[in-house]
Amino acid sequence: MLPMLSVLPLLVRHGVAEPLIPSEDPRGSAFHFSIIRSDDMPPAIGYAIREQNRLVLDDPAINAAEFTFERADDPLRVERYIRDQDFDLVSVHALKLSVAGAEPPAMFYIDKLRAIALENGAESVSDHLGFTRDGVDGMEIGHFAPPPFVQAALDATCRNIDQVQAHLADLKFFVENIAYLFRLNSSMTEAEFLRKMLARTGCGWLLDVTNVYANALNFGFDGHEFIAEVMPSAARVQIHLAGGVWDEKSEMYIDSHSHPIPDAVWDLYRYALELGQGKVEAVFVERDQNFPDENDWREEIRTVRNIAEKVEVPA
Amino acid sequence: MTATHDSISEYRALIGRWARALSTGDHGIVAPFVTDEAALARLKMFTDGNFEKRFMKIRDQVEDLLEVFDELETSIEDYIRSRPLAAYDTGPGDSATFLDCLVETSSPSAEQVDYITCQKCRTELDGLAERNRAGHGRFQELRSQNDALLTELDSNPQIWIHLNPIRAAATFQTRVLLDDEADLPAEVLFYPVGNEIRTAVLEREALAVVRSLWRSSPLHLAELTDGISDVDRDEIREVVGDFVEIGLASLG
Repeated sequence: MLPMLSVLPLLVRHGVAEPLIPSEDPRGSAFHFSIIRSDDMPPAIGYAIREQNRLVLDDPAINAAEFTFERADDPLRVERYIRDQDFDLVSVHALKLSVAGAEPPAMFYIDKLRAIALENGAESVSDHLGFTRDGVDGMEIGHFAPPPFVQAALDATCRNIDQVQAHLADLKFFVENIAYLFRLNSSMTEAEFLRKMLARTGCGWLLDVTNVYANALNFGFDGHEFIAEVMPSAARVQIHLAGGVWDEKSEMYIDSHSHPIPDAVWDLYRYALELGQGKVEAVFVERDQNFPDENDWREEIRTVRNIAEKVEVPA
Repeated sequence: MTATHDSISEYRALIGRWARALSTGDHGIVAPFVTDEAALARLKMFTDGNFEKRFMKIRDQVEDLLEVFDELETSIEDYIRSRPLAAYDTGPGDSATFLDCLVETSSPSAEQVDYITCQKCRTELDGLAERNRAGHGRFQELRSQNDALLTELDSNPQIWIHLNPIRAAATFQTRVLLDDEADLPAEVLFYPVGNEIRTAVLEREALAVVRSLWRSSPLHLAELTDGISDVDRDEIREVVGDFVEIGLASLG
């Protein structure tokens, strides 16, 4: 009878059918946990998951994972994005909350974020300090733009974060400092804006060390001072590390997630860990281009852990 | 927190103007608000980068059409310049809107229409699965019992036959995506197995079974055979077995 059912190979979207989540597996449902950590514990450490680094996620140096919501939100998925792996800490990274937008984010988007977080046993959600659209029914810019660091933007941002945190309930929310190509006229510094935002909302700081490095280099300020100014206002911290590239044409350091982490970023990372001792909950390395080989993936994440362990548990 | 509503409303107006300008690459509107001269060139880098990312996303999603549309990349560029990305659209919706525009603006041939139809069916499956996550998950879980239940299908009248709830049907007018011997017009079904989209071309007997299950699923085998008068029971039983094998139906 099969001749009446000819499958058309041209039309088949390539992909691998994955095993189903056993229904008795609690991680496949709304399973949620929190890490209990003491001040002298090093942060949980891992990669922002990409298909290219899945092969090293079982490395002993890795006990955390971050994944991007937009990657995980495949409506045809039949298993968790993090699959059957166990991590001490999982975080969901979002791109479209438009935290610094003039309108609060849409509830349906927060609901979807929360559902994906619970499905994957995540304890936190993060997004960027930027605006990506003009409103819930409006249009997308395509990437987050930096807000003007003015009182009205601060008010709107804090209102948005309050709403996100209220809706995420028991999931912690972190806001990331972004790397920007341009700055808008402002009445306060970025560090002052961040300090006030963290103090008013109580949200966590996703300190992207490479973004601090890039902005400091491109706009002529001291990255160490920036971190030192903001860190005291953060109740909890996650850290991003990545490597970018110097663009000769624009004479800017571009946070392209395409190269090894530069020495200056390692130094800033160590400094951030020292200042944030006891409140840095997780460190994630991001890579999106020019992927390293397996050994380099492993070596990089072990370096992240070695530095953290030396800072958090001094000899 | 206490928000300063007046200032937020001013901020809303400003962000509205900026976002619209940046979404279409019109960075000139934002230029007076940047901090220095060098920022103008960087604003252009920002909008050019966003344009490129959106272009690549659409191109990747409709890449099969490159074979049959000579100016597809130019059409994508024209589309992006004329239509800002809708709020919260992460890609598939943008591609679907682009395909609608393509049909409106290019008078496509029958072969091109088949390609577009194929692409739109894939997008439709994503939308269906998004709205019926539970149904998709349940159906895919049911498949694990199929081997055992298929052997009992003739002897156990209590077994239900479920049609995959995530499905889209299309009629192809040409053989551009079909076997050379396929009858035209061809009825084609799109459906997922796991997270992979499959297609099946259905002939008369299979179409009759699909139509019955489409109207009312699940059905017992006896109900299915009672409802189809022009196909005999053995053939229907065989079609059900084929459907189960290819992931279009499941037993429970």
